[in-house]
Amino acid sequence: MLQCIFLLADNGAVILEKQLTGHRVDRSICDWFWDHVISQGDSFKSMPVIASPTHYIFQIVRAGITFLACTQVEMPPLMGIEFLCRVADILSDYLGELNEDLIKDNFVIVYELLDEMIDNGFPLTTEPNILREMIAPPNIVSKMLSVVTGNSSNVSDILPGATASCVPWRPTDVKYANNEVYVDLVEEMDAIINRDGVLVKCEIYGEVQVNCLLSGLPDLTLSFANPSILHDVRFHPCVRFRPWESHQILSFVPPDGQFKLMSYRVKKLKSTPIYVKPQLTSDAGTCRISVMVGIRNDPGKTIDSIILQFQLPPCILSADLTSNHGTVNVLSNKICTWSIGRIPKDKAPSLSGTMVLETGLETLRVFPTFQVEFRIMGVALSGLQIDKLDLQNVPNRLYKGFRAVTRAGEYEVRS
Amino acid sequence: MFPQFAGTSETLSKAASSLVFRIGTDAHLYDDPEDVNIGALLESRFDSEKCEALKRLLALIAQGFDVSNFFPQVVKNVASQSLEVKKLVYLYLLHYAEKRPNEALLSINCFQKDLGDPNPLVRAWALRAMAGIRLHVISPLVLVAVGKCARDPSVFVRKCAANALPKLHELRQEEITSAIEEIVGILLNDRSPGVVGAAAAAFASICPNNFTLIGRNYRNLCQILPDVEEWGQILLIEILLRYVVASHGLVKESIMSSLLCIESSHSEKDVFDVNVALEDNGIPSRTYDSELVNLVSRSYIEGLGEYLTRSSDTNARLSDLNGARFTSGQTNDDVKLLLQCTSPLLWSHNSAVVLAAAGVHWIMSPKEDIKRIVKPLLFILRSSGASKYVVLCNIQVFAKALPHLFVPHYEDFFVSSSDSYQSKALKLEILSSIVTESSISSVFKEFQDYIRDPDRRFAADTVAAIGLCARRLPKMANTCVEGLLALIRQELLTSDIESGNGEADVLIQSIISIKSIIKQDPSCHEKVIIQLFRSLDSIKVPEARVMIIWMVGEYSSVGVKIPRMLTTVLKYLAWCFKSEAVETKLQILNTTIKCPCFHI
Repeated sequence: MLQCIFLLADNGAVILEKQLTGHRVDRSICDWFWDHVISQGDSFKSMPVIASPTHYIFQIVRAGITFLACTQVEMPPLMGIEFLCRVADILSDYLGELNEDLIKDNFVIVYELLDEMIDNGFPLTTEPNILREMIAPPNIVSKMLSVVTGNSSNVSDILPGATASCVPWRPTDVKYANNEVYVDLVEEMDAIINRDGVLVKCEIYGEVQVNCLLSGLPDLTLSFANPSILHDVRFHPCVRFRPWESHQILSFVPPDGQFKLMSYRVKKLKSTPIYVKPQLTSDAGTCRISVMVGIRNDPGKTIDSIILQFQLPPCILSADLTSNHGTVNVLSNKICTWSIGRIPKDKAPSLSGTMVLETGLETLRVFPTFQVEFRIMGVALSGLQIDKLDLQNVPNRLYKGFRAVTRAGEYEVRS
Repeated sequence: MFPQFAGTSETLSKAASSLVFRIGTDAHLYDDPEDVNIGALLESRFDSEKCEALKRLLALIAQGFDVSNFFPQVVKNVASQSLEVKKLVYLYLLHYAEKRPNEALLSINCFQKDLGDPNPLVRAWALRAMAGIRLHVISPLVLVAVGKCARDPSVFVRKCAANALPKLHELRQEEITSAIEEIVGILLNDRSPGVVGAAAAAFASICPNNFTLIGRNYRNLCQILPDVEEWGQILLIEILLRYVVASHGLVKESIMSSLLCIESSHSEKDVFDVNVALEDNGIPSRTYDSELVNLVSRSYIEGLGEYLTRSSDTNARLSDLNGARFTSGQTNDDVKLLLQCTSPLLWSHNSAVVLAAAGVHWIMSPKEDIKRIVKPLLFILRSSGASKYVVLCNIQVFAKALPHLFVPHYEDFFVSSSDSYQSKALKLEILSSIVTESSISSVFKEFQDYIRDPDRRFAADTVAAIGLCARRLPKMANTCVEGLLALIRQELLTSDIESGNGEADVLIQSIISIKSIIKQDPSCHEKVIIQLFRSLDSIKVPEARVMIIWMVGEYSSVGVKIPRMLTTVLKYLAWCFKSEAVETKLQILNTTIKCPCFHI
């Protein structure tokens, strides 16, 4: 199983190490790893499983922090990778966001979390609810209290009741004055539009995120109006399989608070809400670019936070780009970002400009791909509809809220 | 009001807010831990000061410093009433116990007392600390403690007992091994899924081949599998699979068996090959290469880690293990139960569980049911980005064995610009294995876009994939060749192709792909060879010239036009011989020898 976990900063320095078994792993493995990252660049950095001369290394990168896990024994590689993802999720949940300073500010909590999450190299407790009960997250109030009273203990002295129950993801004694359940459909649209402007692929990846603020041990049933459009599904461990297999109904005892109930995919969508039309023509060493953006299929709600991003190919020496709406920025790593915001009613936003090719090159032969971002609040473009959300033993006051949002996911337009 | 004061108040408020955020954090411990006298703080009467000292020590450990010299003072605090102090002492102790065994032993009494504490959390920590010390002298004590905790009323304590067993086992003491295995058996039979998961992990590291422990509880283990938490599920699935292969053999109707079967017409094979003929209702069906079957079965029975590390001579010695057994998936209840209980796990949110369940179905499921693993595997590619590469590697293996499973889903393998280079390469390979006549036109449209990608290494890989597709679908060969020739013409218009350049790679790969297509049917592609030769003047890259010259020599007697051109060809090659690179010169000589001599 796993023998050691290291957290590295974005410059390769070791922020934290946690030895997990009796076999001590020397820090030189981090030096070996970082030397290879520097010499081989991106292709090394994106390899999740690496074989060094002495260990197998699993790595993931989140927000610039590299999480490394080392082992010398044969084990399922996805187990190592998923566990590191879980560690990163829990840390960003506890600390608010992931960055080097926050980890250093709270390293004792991080150390205690790692100690509870993995024992002797085997994952022990990764349920957020149980961890929250055993190790309280840092927040401003508890920090103030600890300064004032001198008691900086964040370790609970009571074993969470959840560890003994058959619903280990839910604490046993939850009480709320107002009983509320919020269900959000959070969707991402993936699309590929090829050089000829044809929509090759358009799908939606979505998550049903639930924020459950209910007392006691509630038993919820969620059903959709049109579950047949769902092509793929994956569930949180709390979902019972049989009701879904037979009637496409989600029956579950929810964890407390915010959690991801299921993720799904809807395929073969016919069209996209906005269009992006890039045009590149080149002649005698200069290239003219023009990109137009507009609304194709109005979803009924405002499309905002529209951003276009593309990387200038290496053969382009300089670029002079302007737009009639929004701002254009070209960074030193040749990534160009055009922040449009919302599409105005009176004009179609367009970007235009000239780019100088490197000497000797007459025309442009390679073409950049445009990454598109947008956000549409209030609509789930997949068309998935929630039919009803029922609760056994309905309390006196129950408030249910439903929301939807669609963003751009892996949405690219080729030029 | 006054600008200078406004400036000050802003900086003040900024400082105040950053101070607030740093108050109550441990940041000061990380940055300057040497400041205060840790030893004095450890001796203090106040728990808060002890905590401060212990946290400073942990900060030093986290940074990699050696603070084992404080061991005696830390150990004295192990009996503290404060749980925070206790926890921190345990963390320190576990880190340094091996370095300071004698002093670690001082705390044993305290741990044993804590094992009887009414608070299950304290009992669990004490057990974890005792087991974590890893010293031979106390192993009997730890064994007794683990045995007691294996029967503890608290689920959490029993789970910690299961986790403590591998630590005990690592001490490698013969006399306690059977007692340890007995406790593993007790915990595997536990009613709580949490304990069973941890017991599965213990089983996998302590006694992975003790299949009697599994056999006793097989039905219970299968039925409790969906409730076990995810990490335990991964290991338990593997254990149950190995048990079924060990006790029943491979499943006849599965894809694994059909991959191992050989044609019975290979009678000219090595006479020492003993073939096992399977009788099915009296009719002899497929014959299997028993060596291979034995190999595969043994690798599952012994577990991959064990199997790979064993040396080859011991492999021969263990051939008495009868691996060449088969069972039918339709009649065997154990197989059916395992398949039934792992099916819902294909929907798990943990991609390792999905892959493990897919593996069971790949090995055990009859061929007509195996397509249920396809959609869950493809969904992981989108829903778990970090797992993409590993799952693609597995899909590559599946797609090569059973391409028809993935044929309808070819769009899932279209390359996105956010993929890493390795993922892109894998997707191209998979696409070339699963492409069919109905999908080839859309796949080729995609390929045309990929060739214009700024990453020329990826463009070269795409050209190679075109060659692979053309070899698999001969009807498309002509279209491919036309496309590749057009690409070469376009490449030559770019002026700066040098060896080692990204563009050169694309050019070379195009010629390699054309070469492999021509090889299938040289006489059809006579014109192509001629066209390539005519463009030889504009191609400066030596590797490319070498290949074209080789082709002329290799196919010099093919068709009608080429033999007629040979004089011109040889004259040209002689004329440019002096200015060529070494490898080109060698190839020219090679070609000249191959050409029929009647024109010279």
